[in-house]
Amino acid sequence: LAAEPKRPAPNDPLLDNPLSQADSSSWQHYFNDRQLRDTIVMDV
Amino acid sequence: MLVLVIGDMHIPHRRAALPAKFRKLLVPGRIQHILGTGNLCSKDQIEYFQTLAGDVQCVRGDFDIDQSLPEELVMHIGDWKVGVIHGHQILPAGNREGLAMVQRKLNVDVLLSGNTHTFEAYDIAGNVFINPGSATGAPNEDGEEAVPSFVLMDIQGPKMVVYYYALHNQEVKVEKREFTRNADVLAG
Repeated sequence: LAAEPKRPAPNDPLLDNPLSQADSSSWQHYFNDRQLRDTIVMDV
Repeated sequence: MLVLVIGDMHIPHRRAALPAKFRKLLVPGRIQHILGTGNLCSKDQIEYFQTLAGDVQCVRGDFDIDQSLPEELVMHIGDWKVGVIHGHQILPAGNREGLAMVQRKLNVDVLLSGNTHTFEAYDIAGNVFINPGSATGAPNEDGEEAVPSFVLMDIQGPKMVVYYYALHNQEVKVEKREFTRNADVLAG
């Protein structure tokens, strides 16, 4: 739980930008993972 | 660390609101700092930004009525020393030598400025200069129409990735540029 979610390596800026909400965007994954981790920390 | 750089919106004098496509992109919980380069111009806009990020700071442009806004801002974000001015103090507008003088005066690694309503991101001898353009695409002083745009900086240690968001024909385009901090500036 102490581990940071892995930071994405951006590729195509149109898809892989920090504000992208596309499902395939690694930034979207990053923020989803972080949110999940925060929820777990809150629950534990 | 994500830092939104946005300005020259001229709401409500020249434009009614931020483009809907931009508002859709700006969701709470992603951005840590928002730096306004001035001429937002209404207080509502600052309040809107406060719903997106914990830290919102803005300088005063020549059309901002709020006298409590500072002329210039200097702060540390991560490894970077960041300066913000609106840029109407520099003549002619956007003059690179003029901006370089302000950068040296404030002793910053990166100088953010607006006023010209044209996006720019370049470095001179390791010092970075960024202009996010006008977020609403409001016409500039000369009445020329502008492309709506803003900038997002992703700061990771000495590296900074600048994302440029622009609205062309109702379509959001994203460009990316990378900069590395000049180690001499903070030491000096």
